[in-house]
Amino acid sequence: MSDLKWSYMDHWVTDSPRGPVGPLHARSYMDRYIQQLAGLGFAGFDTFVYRLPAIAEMYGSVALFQGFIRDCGMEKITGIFTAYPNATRFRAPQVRETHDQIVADCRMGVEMCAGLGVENFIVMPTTTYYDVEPVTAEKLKVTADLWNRVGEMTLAAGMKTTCHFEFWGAIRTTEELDTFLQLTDPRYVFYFCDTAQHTIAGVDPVALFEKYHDRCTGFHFKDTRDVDTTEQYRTPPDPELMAPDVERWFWEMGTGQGLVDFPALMRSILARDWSGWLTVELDKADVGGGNYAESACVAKWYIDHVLDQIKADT
Amino acid sequence: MSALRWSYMDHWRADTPRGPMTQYGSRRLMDDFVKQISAVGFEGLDMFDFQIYGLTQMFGSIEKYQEYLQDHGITKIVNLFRGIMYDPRVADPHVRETHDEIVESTRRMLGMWEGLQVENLIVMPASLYADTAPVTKDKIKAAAECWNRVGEASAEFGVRTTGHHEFFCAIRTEEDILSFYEWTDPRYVSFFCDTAQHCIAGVDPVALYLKLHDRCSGFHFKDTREVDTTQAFASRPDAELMAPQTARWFYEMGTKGGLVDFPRLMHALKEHEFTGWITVEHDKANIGGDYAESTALSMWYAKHVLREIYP
Amino acid sequence: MNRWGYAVNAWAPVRREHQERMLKVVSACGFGHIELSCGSGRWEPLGRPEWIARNHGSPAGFLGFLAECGIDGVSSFYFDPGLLTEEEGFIPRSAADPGDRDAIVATAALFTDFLADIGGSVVVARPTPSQWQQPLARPGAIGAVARCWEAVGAYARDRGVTLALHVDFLSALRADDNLDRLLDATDPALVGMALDTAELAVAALDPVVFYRQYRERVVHVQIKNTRQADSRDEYALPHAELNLLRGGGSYGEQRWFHDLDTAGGLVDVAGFLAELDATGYDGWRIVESDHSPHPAETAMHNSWFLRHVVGVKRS
Repeated sequence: MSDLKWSYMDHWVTDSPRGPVGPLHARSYMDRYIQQLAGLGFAGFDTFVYRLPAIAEMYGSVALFQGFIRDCGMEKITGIFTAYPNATRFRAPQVRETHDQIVADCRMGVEMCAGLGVENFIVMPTTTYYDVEPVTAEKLKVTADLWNRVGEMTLAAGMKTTCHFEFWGAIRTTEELDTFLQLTDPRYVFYFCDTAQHTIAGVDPVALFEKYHDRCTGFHFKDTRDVDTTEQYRTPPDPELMAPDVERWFWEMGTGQGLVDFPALMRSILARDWSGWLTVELDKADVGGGNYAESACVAKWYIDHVLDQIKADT
Repeated sequence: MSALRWSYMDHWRADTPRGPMTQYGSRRLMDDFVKQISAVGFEGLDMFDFQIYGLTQMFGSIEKYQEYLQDHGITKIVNLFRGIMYDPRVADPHVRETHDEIVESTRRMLGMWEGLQVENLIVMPASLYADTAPVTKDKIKAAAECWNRVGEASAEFGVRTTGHHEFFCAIRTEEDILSFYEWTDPRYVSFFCDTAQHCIAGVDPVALYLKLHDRCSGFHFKDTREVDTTQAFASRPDAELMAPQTARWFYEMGTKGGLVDFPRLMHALKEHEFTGWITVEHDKANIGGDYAESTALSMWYAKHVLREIYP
Repeated sequence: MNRWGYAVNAWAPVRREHQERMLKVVSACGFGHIELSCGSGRWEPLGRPEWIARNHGSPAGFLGFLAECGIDGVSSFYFDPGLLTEEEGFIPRSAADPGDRDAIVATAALFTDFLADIGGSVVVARPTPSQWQQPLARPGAIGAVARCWEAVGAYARDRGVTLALHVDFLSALRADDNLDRLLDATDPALVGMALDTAELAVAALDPVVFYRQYRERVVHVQIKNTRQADSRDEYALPHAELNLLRGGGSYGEQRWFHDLDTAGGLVDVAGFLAELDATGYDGWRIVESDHSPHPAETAMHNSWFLRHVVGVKRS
């Protein structure tokens, strides 16, 4: 029997007297943000590894922050996310010489969350596609080696390193996904299903979950209105933020014209007795005049009125 | 000396601690608004005629308001847009029984503005298409009669009555528009060319201007990215604000993907030696955008593209 | 003729069309040059020469893009060696640490070379970390800062660019007589100062008095206003960026910087500009909109003020 709970991935912008700001702008903003998420009913909170130092500065430590979110009615930090969108001379997963630095970065994140029960260490396993191409078996092997190392380290601390595949990353097609997941050690490297990212890349997230459900440790429930049919994924300078044909790739679930079949995915999750955290993600919800608060509410409405209904009917 | 001067149709929202507000919300908001449009080079201001009530409260009189504008680099209030709620029982151009009300209410309104040198009274010449259909020759003739009378009255104030054809107005097709101007008296009724409204209705505003150039007394230079392909013009409850086809019809001139050929229009103005005011409009620019930015961009376009064609 | 520019740091454009809109707003407001500000990564595509190259091909390509938007050029580029950037490996650097000097000079060279290639003239730099992060009381600290910036200034001079050190109200140079000591320790031919009117006012200094005192060293001016001075020196308290700059400190100040003629402004902008004119200042005058919730509105408002109140002729 599936035991499912909902967490929220830390993307937010709010208006301030100095224009749009993120919640880490100041303590009062962060407090309000957490209260709003808790008010909607999210029990878990996912954030970025690079934000942990700022959170610690603001609350005294990541542990004290977790105490705060518990006081607000949430349960815990459920996942932390790291990525290297662009290759630099210091860090690039496909470059073995940078692996020590990346492992050190990841260890820092794990240590900052020690003892807090964080479950997922979510990674974007490669940089942007155009920094990597051509995507060769050798590069996939080097990348897999990195995340095997990281995964063994994080598992020792109770966190599962789990790979999240952006449509604009270098591991995106079904073939590339299969190859990479075969190269990684299933004891240490897991699969994280972002519904919109796969859909944009022309991959069916439900089918992928069906194939890798036993390695799947979580989801980003996120929608899209576009499949990338014009190779935007490999377009410099930034295929996600500056795609020539698409200003906004991601939408909240429940959006009109969305392409992700969330009911089918939910039925599959239930059929497989999969248990764990389901994460709502709303990155770039403010593009084109949208706003995060409204999108979060629309997504939660969809959970309450559509997905929970499927659970109840199963 | 330029043949053309630029006026701004005063659609505006500013963000405030209580959310978006118009410039009529407070004196400070009005100060901010006027300074900003002056800063980017506008010399004139257009507005709805009913703003006189709020402005009189804010400044003491409309004359004082115009003095205030002049202190801030805006020469005058150029055009007024007639604000009448069309209702076939009370005031509707195609209903002859209501013409007296339209004429007299307009006369009263213009009387309030008498101290200024307003150039045009811009009117929507017919009610909503959805309320008027079917649009018959007789209904267009009735509207023509109405505006002939209004135009004669407005001429007493030195103001030209001029027809502005929204894409959702009953008189919207090229054929109907040309009939309307054929049946109106050129002494009393002029043509006001709103580039985006015509474009959305599938009418080429440049071609229309070329046909009616001798009747044309002004423009709304405004852009759009869409032609109405879904009969939005006939939809209820509101063809403009609630059309299923799009959340936003209007954009500032020069917008990416804009359909109005402003350079071609500018050549036409030059060819026919149009002189006077051009009004820039981008109502509802705050839908996914903001008024200040759109206003600055429109004057960038006026200076860097259009003035190169017709200085 | 006075040289005017507008700092684009109040905007945060990502896509090319947003960059274009920002530039056209600045142009429509009558400004022909822009000042860029350092950033990092894909979300700040105008923040580093590397990203400008990715977006626009080359400095010449970027100049062409600016020209399409009615902008004649880049006046200056602000950078802070203490900023954590992915391009620098997320390593914050301080001129007060001699071991960081080579890296700072190398980073500065990136910005300087870009300016030289694009026809810009001033590299503006944050000379030290904040007071709470690294006070300069220890022996040798000021000397290290001086040597570092002289090295940067020498490189800049060779490339025809001027170095201007920008002291903000959190800076360690605000404390004690650190600024005077630094200026005494540096060669005026290599190291100049950027005078920021609002940063000085928040530090409870009068920009006109300051300019008169340091006139010979002021090579760059940034103009904005403020309504609140940090009269209780909260800049020296821990985590001042978080608690004071963003959190507002005990003053509750939600927005430190305002339009040039803001009600209750501490800076007499017209008076300051008159002082520049009276003394024949011929450097850049960069108008800023930091902390504005609506950069386009503030730019338009500032433009109106300069033209209609101060009497600056429209370009």
